[in-house]
Amino acid sequence: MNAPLLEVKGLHKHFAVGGQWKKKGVVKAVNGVDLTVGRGETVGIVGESGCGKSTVGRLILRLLDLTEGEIRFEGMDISRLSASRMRPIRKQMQCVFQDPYASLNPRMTVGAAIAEPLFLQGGLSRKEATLRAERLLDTVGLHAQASRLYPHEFSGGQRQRIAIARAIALGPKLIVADEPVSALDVSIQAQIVNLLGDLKEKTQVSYLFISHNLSVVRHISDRVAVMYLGRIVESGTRDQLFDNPKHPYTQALLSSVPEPEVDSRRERIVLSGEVPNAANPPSGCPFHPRCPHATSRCRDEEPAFTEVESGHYASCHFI
Amino acid sequence: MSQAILSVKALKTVFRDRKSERTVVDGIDFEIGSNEVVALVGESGCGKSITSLSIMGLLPRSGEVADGEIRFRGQNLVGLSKKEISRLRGNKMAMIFQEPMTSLNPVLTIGTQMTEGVRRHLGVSKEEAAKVADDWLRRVGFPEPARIRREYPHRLSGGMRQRVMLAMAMACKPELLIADEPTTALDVTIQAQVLDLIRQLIAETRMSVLFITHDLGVVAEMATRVVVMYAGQIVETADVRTLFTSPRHPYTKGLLASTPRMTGTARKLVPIPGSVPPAGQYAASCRFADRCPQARPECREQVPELRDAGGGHQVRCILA
Repeated sequence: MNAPLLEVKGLHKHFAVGGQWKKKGVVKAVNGVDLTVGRGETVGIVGESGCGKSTVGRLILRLLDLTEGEIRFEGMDISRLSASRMRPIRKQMQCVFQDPYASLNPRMTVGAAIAEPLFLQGGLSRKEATLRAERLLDTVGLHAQASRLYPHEFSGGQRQRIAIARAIALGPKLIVADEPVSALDVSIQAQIVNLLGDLKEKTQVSYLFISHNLSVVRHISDRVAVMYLGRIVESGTRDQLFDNPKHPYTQALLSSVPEPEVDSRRERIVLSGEVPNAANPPSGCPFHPRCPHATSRCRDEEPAFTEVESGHYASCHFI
Repeated sequence: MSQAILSVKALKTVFRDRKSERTVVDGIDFEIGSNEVVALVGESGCGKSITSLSIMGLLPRSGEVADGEIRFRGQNLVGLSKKEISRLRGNKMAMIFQEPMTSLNPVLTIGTQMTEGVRRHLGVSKEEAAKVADDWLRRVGFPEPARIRREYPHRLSGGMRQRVMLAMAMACKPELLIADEPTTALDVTIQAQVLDLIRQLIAETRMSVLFITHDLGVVAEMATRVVVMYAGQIVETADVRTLFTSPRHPYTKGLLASTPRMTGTARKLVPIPGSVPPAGQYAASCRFADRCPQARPECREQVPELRDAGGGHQVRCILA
């Protein structure tokens, strides 16, 4: 019974590319990811564009079919469930995306948009659902009167509140949040980060928080995983990872974030080159072409994901 | 005789359509001295980008500089003909934008686009222009510039395109570079590369920079002086150290308190309540009063002046 809420093992997603004109190939967008999210826990996934972090989120939500691996939700393998068998589980797993405007129907009032899942999945009557929707709007810090307005009548931050209200409507156990604050100004971003924190305290919901913004992830997460080219290269508790990063990529990534401070200048590690093409990944350690410490061993031999201290893992030959 | 490269005085930019007129930039004053890096910060809709487009004479047709002066080396740019301003633009003043793909022509090679500007402003031959282009491409980190010149923009990554834009902007040795969110679309490790490069170019060429950004981390890293904008006005300006160590305007303080950090304890963020008023629809009072935790009745009765607080520090708040 003490299975973690979400357990992902050996997750792979390969996309076929090319075809008629170009050489056929395969992009290993997600290439062997293991991950667990406990009850009431927030796990952050960080990485740069194209590292596969969003694909991991979509695979877990079963919005994409995996190529290989296992996804267990409350102990049950959901990785190959049919759409109809997934339906009851979708109540428990919700999502919030970067652009709330794209996830809200512009021709539906926000009250109706939030009431819809309550009516369809929650077994409430239309009238009950509408009342619940108003209460949910209040929970996320909007007026109940907002339920009669349309999405375009709200600002970006307010729309994200609406998307969150809809995500929590059915009392899910897990919310996959993919860059939920990336489109928002910093003063509004802080409002949404705090709202997510308050909701977690109130409802014990777990978050899988996917973002490229390292300082936001540091604020919201209990544990963090760093992805590079489809793999997790380091994971640990928030403090282990941010205060004592082991993998050279994590070290460079953290040091690259400009801090709003004029004193306490940190040492910056500027990486050379760019993220390699996922269709043609480097041999050995995927990070070796950009790594300041790389040796010939890194080019030939893939490092194992090893425990460096309790709960803190990294894949590098030199840790 | 002031030494300012650029001096903006009482700049007012309005946008008109058939129905309405909106003042998006409402009385901006600032100066950029020689080899100075001035950061213009603020959130979406505060008018920071419109300020830079006004300076470059690149406002869309519905926008217009309604009042004020923009002096570049003493010469007022407001009211100059298109021809006169385009002689300065790309030559003495250059600009780079957030998304280089929108400023690069997708059907021309990098080389064609680079040499066009160089030949036009420096009046040199094709061969010499190519040499200038190669030189700058090398300086922004392309070891094989001739190969990059033959490429089309879509073949380059975001970080490479931004470096190409920088090379193009630098090719005529501008005295003033306007950089509008130049690293916002880039991944953080690539942002670090580009910021490093810009810093290096500033040191080598001693040019002045107007750096527009919403990211206070980037400001702390790049700027010598900071201008904070809110709702079309300057609310605070100070040298970078003063601004980060002793900010005085509640909006500046609010921005700093709502920014998550990479170091120290991960305390709870203190957001600024409410949201930015829509551009051009401002009350005749302190424009921040509705979101200000310290607001008093008198804040809503008058428009606060931008006051001198000593040492080049200016604040628009009656309580600060």
